[in-house]
Amino acid sequence: MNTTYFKSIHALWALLIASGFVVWLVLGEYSMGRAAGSDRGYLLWSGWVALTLFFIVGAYSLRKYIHKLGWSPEFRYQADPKAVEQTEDAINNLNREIAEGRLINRSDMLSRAKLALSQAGTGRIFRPELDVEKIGEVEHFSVYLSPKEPLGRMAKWMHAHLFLGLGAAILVLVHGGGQMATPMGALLNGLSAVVILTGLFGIVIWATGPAKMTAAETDLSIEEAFVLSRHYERKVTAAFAELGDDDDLVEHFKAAADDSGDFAKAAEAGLSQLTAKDPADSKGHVLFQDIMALIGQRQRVNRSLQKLMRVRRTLNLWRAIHVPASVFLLGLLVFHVFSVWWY
Amino acid sequence: MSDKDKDLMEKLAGIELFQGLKPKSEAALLEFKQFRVCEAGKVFVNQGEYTSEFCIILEGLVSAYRSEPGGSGVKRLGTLKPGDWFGEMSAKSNQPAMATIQADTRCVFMAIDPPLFKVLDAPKSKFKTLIDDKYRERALSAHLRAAPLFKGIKEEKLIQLQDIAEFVSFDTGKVIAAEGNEADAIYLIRSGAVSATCKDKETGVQRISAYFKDNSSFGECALSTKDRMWKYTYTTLGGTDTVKIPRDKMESIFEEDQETLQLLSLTADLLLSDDEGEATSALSALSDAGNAGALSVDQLEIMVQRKSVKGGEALVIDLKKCTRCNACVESCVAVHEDRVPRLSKSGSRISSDMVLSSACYNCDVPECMSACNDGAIRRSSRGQIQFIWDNCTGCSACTLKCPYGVIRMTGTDSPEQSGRWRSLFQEIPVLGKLFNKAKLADVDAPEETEEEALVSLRTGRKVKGKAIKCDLCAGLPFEACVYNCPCGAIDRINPEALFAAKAASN
Repeated sequence: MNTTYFKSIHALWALLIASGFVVWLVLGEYSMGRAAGSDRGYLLWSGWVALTLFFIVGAYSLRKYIHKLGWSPEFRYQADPKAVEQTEDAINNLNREIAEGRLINRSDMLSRAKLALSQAGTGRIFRPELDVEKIGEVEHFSVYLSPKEPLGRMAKWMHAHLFLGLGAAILVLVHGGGQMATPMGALLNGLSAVVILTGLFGIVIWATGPAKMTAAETDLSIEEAFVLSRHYERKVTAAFAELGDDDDLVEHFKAAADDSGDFAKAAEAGLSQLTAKDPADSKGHVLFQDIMALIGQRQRVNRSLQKLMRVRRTLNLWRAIHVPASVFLLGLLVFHVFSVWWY
Repeated sequence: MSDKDKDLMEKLAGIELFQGLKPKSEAALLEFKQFRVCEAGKVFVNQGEYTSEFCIILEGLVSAYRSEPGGSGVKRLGTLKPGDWFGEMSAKSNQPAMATIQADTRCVFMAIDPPLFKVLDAPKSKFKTLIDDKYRERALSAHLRAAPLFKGIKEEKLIQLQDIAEFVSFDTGKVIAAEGNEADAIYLIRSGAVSATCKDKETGVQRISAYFKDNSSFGECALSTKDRMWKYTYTTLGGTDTVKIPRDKMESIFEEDQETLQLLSLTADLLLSDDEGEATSALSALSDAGNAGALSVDQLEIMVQRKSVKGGEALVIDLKKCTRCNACVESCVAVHEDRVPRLSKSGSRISSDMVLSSACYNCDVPECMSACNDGAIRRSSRGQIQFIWDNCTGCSACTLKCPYGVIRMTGTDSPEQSGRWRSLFQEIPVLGKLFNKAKLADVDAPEETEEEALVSLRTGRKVKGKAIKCDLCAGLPFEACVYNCPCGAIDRINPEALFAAKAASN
């Protein structure tokens, strides 16, 4: 199980925000979802914070897609390879100075490295870091470069998505009180429940599913099965081409090659037709055996691929509900804010 | 020839190295030469840095320095003046620079890249003779001294050995010595790489037992007191220059010095006993090179121990965490203008749930680079193997040579030609697949483009595509696959640390 999902600083943030509003609710003796009197301030705050959290949560998907499309701002950081080489040379020289004892102060080492980065124009892509190796009592330093990763790793965004989403769910509850009396209330609360439940289901599946998928990949991994399947597909097509224009025989082979058909029956029919046509055609029989072996291999690989694809679909199917529901929910939330303001 | 070229050739005529160039070499020199300028006091090349250029000093003076092993300080080797050169080993086999070159005055160099160097360094040319003579004068004694067999030999004996040394060059795939034949010489590798293979007694398959690269030596068995037969077949992995010291000549110069000859034989016996132990353990794990596309973990571990893997950190996928969402591949596509992923999720399974992805290992002996005749593969100063798109003619020699199968051929559209707008449509869920044209070479070849036609005309070869491999997202502040994995399933890990952890867990 991937337990890293459940270890995150964002869990603490979400807990603090949600518990803050719950404590405020209890201490203020407010009723959940009421917009009258002194409850108004609480309602506005919980609403705005929930909306903000929802947008932060949605930013995860946005970040994913803008990266895929190449629109992410970090793409503009790309440095010229020559500048990268120049930086590496400068860091090499710096490390030589450190090794020769000409530079002994840690802060000097880092500031020199930063200077080298700014001179080469690569300060936006690299961060200098200090590596300390202790040999005996002596500490040996060297500077190395780490990529800056300006927007942070997607795994961290995933943690924020997960925990801030859960925090937002609690806020929705204290803000709206789970009212289902009005169509808008029912829609908003219902959609929130769908998004939260599918999300929770998804995280459980993502935490436990990969191990199951790996266990299912006993023979071939899904990538290997896919590549092999294409390979046999091409081989079978090429072998059919060798058969020439004997349409009946090709039909039998095609029937045997059909994954949903009866391989053994079609193979037997093809063989009997071949024997009836020319019992002494040894070349034809060898070709027949080769093709049948290829078809058999292809079916074995395809079965394996289909099984793995099923597991993979199970791993990701929940997103088919979670993502559209989330987009719809965000739209409705914006509409809800404007409608509340209007009335 | 233009007036400018004529002037240049007149200037170059004063340099011995360029005297007697054949017209074809002269034309190549004029077309592909480059110039470098280095201001006084600046370091032009650092010792240990990977360069691939052969440089001739046209103006100015430079000093050469070398850090001696064991941290005993920096030694000044001498001053080089106009007409002198350096970097021949780097141009021949991309060895790291053997010395630091610092400009004493403002210098102008003529830089010659490896493909041009190959043309000029033709067999029997004056250029080659001069390079060889300079090597004999400058580096041969150091090379002999570095060979384990000659460690205990006196200086005057080494000078005698220098005199009998023969320079022999081999093309790619040539057998220098065959298993079972009589060992008649000791070989020192000046440049290039050699594999030592022997026949598996059970399967009859040739198995690799060791690699020898520049500045190493083999053939100690020629002086052994026991069996003077080659135990392995030594085959070149690329164009290889060797120094051959024939046994009979060695015996004749040491005829009156039986003590030295005995010392050499004893050293050879000692080295051979070590070598057998190492070879046996290597043989038990290494497979034949032909099947090396899917190396086992043990094989990879040996490659790491032998420092054949120089990639820094290996790309590892944790299958316990990977949800197969494909975000890593999609983000790899996003950072490459040609929209072709460099990432391969397949590789060797280190354990039941860890995969060592077949990304480029930046080998110590990069066979891809020695196979490339078009200057399309080079090493960065930090040792990373880089492909130069414009120089690639799509001959696919590197793809065939890569022992790990990490190089692939893709379409020939330049990054500018493959538009982003098509990719926008590709990103539409479900419908996007309609716009997704597979571009790998195994798909039916598209019509020949103008660029392909030109290359075909120039080289006489049909361009099928361009070679690509993982480029570590060069120039970007992240490595896309690692950066964009929502599950934290893919990461870069030091291979030695990885295998050490695996050994500890066993």
